[in-house]
Amino acid sequence: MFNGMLRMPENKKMYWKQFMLQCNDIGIGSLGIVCIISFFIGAVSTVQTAYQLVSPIIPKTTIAQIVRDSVILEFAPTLSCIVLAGVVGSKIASELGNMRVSEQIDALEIMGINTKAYLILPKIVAGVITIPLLIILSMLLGIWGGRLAGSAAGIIDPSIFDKGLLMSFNGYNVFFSLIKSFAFAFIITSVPSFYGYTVKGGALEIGHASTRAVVISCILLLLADYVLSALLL
Amino acid sequence: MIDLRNIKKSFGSKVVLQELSATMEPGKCNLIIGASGSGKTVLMKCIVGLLQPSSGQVLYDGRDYFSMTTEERKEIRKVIGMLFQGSALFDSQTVEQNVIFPLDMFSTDKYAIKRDRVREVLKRVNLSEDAFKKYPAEISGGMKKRVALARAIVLNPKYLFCDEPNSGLDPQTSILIDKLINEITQEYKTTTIMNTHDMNSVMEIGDHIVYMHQGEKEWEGTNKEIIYSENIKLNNFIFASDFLQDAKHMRMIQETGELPKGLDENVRDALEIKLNLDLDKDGQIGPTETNFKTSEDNNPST
Repeated sequence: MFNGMLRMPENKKMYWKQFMLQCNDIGIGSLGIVCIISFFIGAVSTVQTAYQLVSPIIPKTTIAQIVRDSVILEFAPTLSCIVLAGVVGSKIASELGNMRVSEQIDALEIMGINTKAYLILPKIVAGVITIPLLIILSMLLGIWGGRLAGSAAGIIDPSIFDKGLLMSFNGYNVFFSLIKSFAFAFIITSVPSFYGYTVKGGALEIGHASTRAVVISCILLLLADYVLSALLL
Repeated sequence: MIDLRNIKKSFGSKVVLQELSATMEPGKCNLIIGASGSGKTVLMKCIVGLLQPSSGQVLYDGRDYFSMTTEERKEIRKVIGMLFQGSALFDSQTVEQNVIFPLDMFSTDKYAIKRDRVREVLKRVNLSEDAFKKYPAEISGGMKKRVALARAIVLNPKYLFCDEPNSGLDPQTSILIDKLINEITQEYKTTTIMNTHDMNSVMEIGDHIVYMHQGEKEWEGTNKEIIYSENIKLNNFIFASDFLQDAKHMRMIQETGELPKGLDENVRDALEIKLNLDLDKDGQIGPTETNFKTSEDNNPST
């Protein structure tokens, strides 16, 4: 599939338009769900961390440190991407599947358009660019959610939380998280594209392909998460 | 001109096309007819290159499509327009955007020129301006077919392929689509290849007809010749059309006094009932003086 994608576009302007459309669909389209999930993940992390740290000798700044690192290293990239695998993955698989079944892909082929390059490549490139941006936003919102929840529940004062955030901060964690998000973005867009593009049959098969695409993407995400953590940490 | 030479296509052990050879005549409406499952759509997909034949050649002006490089194939596809059975319009685009798409992709003209061309072809297929901004989901089946036809001809194709353009349409709209395809074939001088099992289309626009039966070419000729064909399989197929049934039967009565031999029992029965004939087992017309009974014969008191 990838072999057929890497060919010279018939019209660069049309490919750019398609790329921008996909950036909007994947990036802007997933913004709402990513914001909600990230905020609550951060909030819950703060509350649960505080619940477990009962020893009086552990400073409250530790809560902020734990929330920061868990959000940056795991919650923002992995949990957000698992949700995105469902949201974006099922959309890509069903869109391409429907185009295949209703002969829209054949119609493009007849026009002399490289459908793999025109339909799949912009999705993958748009995903690899916008999903890491969403993950950065997710990190910020997660931490902000944790700070807000800590303050609202009277667990930790915002100034102490801020102090904790700056303690022992390791920039490599952010870099590692971004590496993960690039890999995850590729999985989230390429696996459903494959299942959608190769659908045969009708509406039932589109549903099956969509489900299979999401399930396989999630499994590959978790596998990639483990492999990257083992290799890079 | 498109030449098909010994096209064979199998899916696993199932042979769908068997050594089929035919020539699609340039500038004419070439019809591929046959019952459902006879391999018409597979043949058309082989001709346009969506499916690769197991063996055989598809020659576009003497050059085998499947021996061409990717770039050469792209060039051939730029002169092909295709009307799909389900229209295959892009759901997310309006009627106008659907038709301008091939121009956007392959033409370097300014937007105003492209827009004028789109409006010209949309008007040519008798679509009103109200429909231009609508989405495919908002228009009728007949309008979808016309939009798809407009999209197929917007780049002035040399070859126009139509896969069952009348399927799912009412008889009146079917006739309109047929006429439109015929007019476009003449105006644009395209070589049109159309799959159909609509016998009205055969009689209306079939300049050259290829009849397929179970993956084989069974008969080839014009719509004038089809009336006089003695091919039993073709006769059984076309007798599904009332018009052809009547026309053929009239000719048989006039010229030979009997029906073609080898007709299915149910086809013979249907003919007998429909035309009030008295036929023996061999299809010979019985001893009645007039074969067509009048209303007076049936009701002598009047």
